[in-house]
This record gives sequence, C-alpha cells and structure tokens, in this order.
Amino acid sequence: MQIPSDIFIKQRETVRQSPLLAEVDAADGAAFLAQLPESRYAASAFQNRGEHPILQPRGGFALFDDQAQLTHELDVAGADFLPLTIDSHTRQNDYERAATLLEQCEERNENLLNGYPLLAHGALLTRSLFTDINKPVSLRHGTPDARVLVEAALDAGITEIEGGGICYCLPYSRSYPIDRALLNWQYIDRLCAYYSTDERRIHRESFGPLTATMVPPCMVVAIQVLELLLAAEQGVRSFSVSFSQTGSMAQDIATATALRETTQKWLDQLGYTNVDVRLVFHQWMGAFPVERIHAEALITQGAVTAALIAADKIVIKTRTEALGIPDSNSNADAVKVTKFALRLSQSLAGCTGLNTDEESAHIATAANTILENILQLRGIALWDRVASAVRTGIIDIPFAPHQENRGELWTVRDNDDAIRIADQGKVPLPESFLKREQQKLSNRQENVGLDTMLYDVMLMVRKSYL
Amino acid sequence: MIVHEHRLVIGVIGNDIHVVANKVLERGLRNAGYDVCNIGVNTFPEDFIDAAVEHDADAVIVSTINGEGEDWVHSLREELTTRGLKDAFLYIGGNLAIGDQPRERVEAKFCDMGFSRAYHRPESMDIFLTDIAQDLAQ
Repeated sequence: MQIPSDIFIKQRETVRQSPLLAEVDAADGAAFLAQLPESRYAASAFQNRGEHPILQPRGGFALFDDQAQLTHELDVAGADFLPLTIDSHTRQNDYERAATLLEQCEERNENLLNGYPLLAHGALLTRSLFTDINKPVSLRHGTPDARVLVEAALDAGITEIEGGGICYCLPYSRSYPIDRALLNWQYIDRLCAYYSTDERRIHRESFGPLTATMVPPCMVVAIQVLELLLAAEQGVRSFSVSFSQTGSMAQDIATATALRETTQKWLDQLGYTNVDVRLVFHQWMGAFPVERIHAEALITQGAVTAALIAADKIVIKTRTEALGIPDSNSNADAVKVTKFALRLSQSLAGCTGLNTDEESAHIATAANTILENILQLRGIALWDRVASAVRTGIIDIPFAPHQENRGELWTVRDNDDAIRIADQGKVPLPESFLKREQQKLSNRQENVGLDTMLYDVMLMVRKSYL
Repeated sequence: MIVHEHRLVIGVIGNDIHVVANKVLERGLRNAGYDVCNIGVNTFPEDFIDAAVEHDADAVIVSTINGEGEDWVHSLREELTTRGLKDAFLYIGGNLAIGDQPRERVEAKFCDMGFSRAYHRPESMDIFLTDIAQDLAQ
C-alpha cells in the first residue's frame, strides 16, 4: 500500500529536521528541481535515448574541486549520465566522521574518503558542481538508511536515485535491520514519486549486481522484480532493473530476456500499467583483473554484451579497478573505451537467433517460483513479506555479509562458466529447474575443496591467465 | 563423510568486511565435518575469545584481508590461555602484511606471537584443510 499522504508528510517533517538539510527549505528544493531543464532528468533521457545504451561512469572524491574536475572530464569524455558516488561513512549515516575527514582532506589536500560526502558539502554547493552540465546526475551509494541523503540529493538537483531496501542492505551491511532498510526505502520511493509529475519523473534504479559474487540469475531477477514492485506501490513511474556481467556471455543474454519478461509479467499481474521500466547492465563487478590488458578486454566484452541485449544503460568500470579508487583520468578513458566498443557493436542490438531461449525460460521459471512463494507469505504488506522471505531464506544472496541473510544457497560454475545452483538452501525452486542445474554440473567434481570454490569466484583473476 | 566433531571459531578481524574467503572457509570446513561457529566479518579480538569460550573451541581461525590484522591479534594467545583454552590451536591467514614482505618472515612473526600456524598470501587454501586435520588428530 502507498504510504498515506498525512503519514508521509509527518514522516517527512521529521526527516527534514536534520540540521544537514537546513540550508535548503523543502519547498526551495522542489522549486529548484522543477526549473531544471528536461536534459537534467534521467527519466526523460531514457525516453529520448538514441541507438546506444546510455553510458554511465562511477566516481566520487572527497574534495569539491576534485569532484568538479572529475565531472568536467567525464562530461568531455562523452559520459551520458554523470555520477555522484558517496563515501562509505555517509553511507553508514556517520555524517560527523565524514565531515571531520573532509576537513582533514581540505587541510592536507589529500583524499581520505572513498567518495563524495554529499551531506558534509551540502546541497547548495553540490548544485554548483553541475551548473554547466546538461546531463542527468545519478546518485550512487550503498546506504540502508538513505532518507536524509536522498532529500539532499533531490535538493541538489539529482534526478536518478540508485538503491533499494534489499540491494542496499544485505550486500552492504552486516547488521542494519532488514525491516528498517525496507521501510526507509519505502519512504524514499514515496518521496521520489511525490516529486514526480507526468513530464518530470524522478528515476529510481535497483542495484542488481548485489554482492557481484556467484549470485544466480534467478535470484537477481526475483529481487529486481520485488524492488520494482515495492517502488511501483509507492507511486514510482520510472524505474531501472539491473544486473551485472557474470562471466558467461550466454547466461547474461538469457538473464536480460528473463528479466524483461518477468518484470512485465508481474507489472501486468499486479495492474501497474504506467511504469516505464529500463534495463541497466553493469560491467564486471567482481574481483577485477590487475593486468591492464585483461581489464580492458573484460570491459570491452561487457560493452559487447550491453549492445547485444540492447541495454538502456551501461554502468562502466575502469582498467585500474583492481588497484583502488580510479583517478579522473582512468575514469575518463574508461568512458572512451566503452563508447568505442559500443560503436563497434552497434549492429548487434537486438540480434536474434542466439540459442539462449531455453536458458532464459529456465531463469524466468525459477524467478517466478521464488516470487510466487514470497507473495503467498503472511504479512501486512509487500515489504513485510519480503522481510520474512529474507529471514526464512527464500531470498538468499551468496556472499552477503548480513546477519539476517541465510547464506545457505550455494552456487558453482559449469563448464561454460555459467552460475549454477549446487545447493538450494531454503530457496523454493521447481524440481525441473534443479534437475537441469544438476545436469549442467554433471561433469564438475564435487565441490569440497576451498581452492575449487575460490576458483569460481576468482574467474577473472585466475593465475592461469597471467 | 568423515565427521571430525571438532569445534572451530572462524571470523575476519578488525574493520575488514572481506567476506568471500570467510564464506568459502565456512562451507569448506563444514563440508569437511567440523562444527563451525562463524562470527563473520568486522569482528574484534574479544568476539573471537568470547565465542571460543562459549563454544569450547578446539581451534580459532582468524582471517585478515585488508592487511591490518597484526594490530589486533597480539594478545589473542594470552587471552585464550587466561580464559582456560590454553590447548586450543590458533591460526591466522590471508593478507598478513601491507606491502611486499617475504612470506617466511611474515609467517614466523605471527608464530612468535603464539599462532600455531600462519598463512601469508597462501597459494592454496586447501593446504590449510590438510594442516588443521593433522593438528587436531594429534
């Protein structure tokens, strides 16, 4: 159920009491957003996009000047959306620590934060980062409680908000309660809907890579559909589902089809007719190759996949990913590499005849079974059923650090490097699905050694490539 | 499956959220038949000691991936002894030092601190499965 207006307004009054939001009055924030040109709206950019997937880099630095320089360089390099990646202290709501470290950064002119501390800089200064930019800005973070952060981001004119109650809690936090994360994100979805008009929609995006480590596609699809439905329930009308490159190109193509079909099926089933859904593809998010040639080959292959699946947006990686936080230069180069690879792959868009129908039906069937089981759970609302599903292990994300995540689902790679379920844990899955997964694994040795398990995770950094 | 019935405490020490090896270790040790108490990532020396006492552990296995483990583990052996677990095996593995240092020297330093065995950037994690089986069989 949508949060009723009177309750939402009351909740919002409490959130807006944060001194970190004091410099912009909520009404001024709304007025600022309303006067931005259409080109600054992510939702509009999706509707007007050309042949290529929209190109979205990442990037966040502590110091304002560094962020301004990065923004400029990414703009010049040809990014379609500009990023604002937030530091980890702000993500954990430790605003004081982020502010102290920012002061130290300014004194010593060095970078002690792994992202841009939006609340330490404030919405007003942050607006000025994008004064001359004619493109949408996307908020990238990993925050279980992002209510204050998103208020400030909207005040600053950011029109695309990444995150969700599942995808920004289980992979990112050890102990933030899943109930609270889901409720906080219901508030954010409601807020984004509240700020949206028919012409000017605030765009929401889920984070499908999750832990980016051996997550089976059916679980990704199920979680993406849930976050879409949770947002649609609050009135969000422009939303991206996403997933990341897994190491098996064939499985990625099948996942894209399954994700599109499953998304549509559930929107129809629940009667949401006015939601514009987009597909976002992330280049490889797992342990990244150190060698530059391997990193660039991997990035290029990700671009080819994005072209093949006709992704609406591609979120890119840099060749220096394995070495720490990429500098401006390597971020800008990454934009150019992917842009060129996309141009070369242009003729692939929507290329049919690839033999992935069986695999995509297989993924969709499993995702639908998971979703049906969740919707049948007892609960007062969808978010409540989702929380129960996490606690009972119906939703289970491999390698998530969260204490409420069951951690019993186990996957291994088959001979083609596709991710297969070896142990379903408590995840309800059809017999026929499990049988096919087993068949695909029939010539893999039993998965007992530690090295074999790590071998699957470390697909892109295996010593044999060096 | 051989059931060892030995009780183990595992976890990643310090402000370190590297979860991959921890999950692999948990599953590998369980598959090998151990009774594993995994205290997870981002844990501190007292968490290991408390869990070891509660679980009456035969071995405590500390992981550190971000390289800052050394600062946290100096008193682990002494604490185990004080709390009545002087015979427990104590292992540490992962990335035990920041920067390039010879493996033997790094591992020897941790053994001097009271660790039964130490593994600095090991080539293989399966070696550990063999080692711990041998140690606990004694």
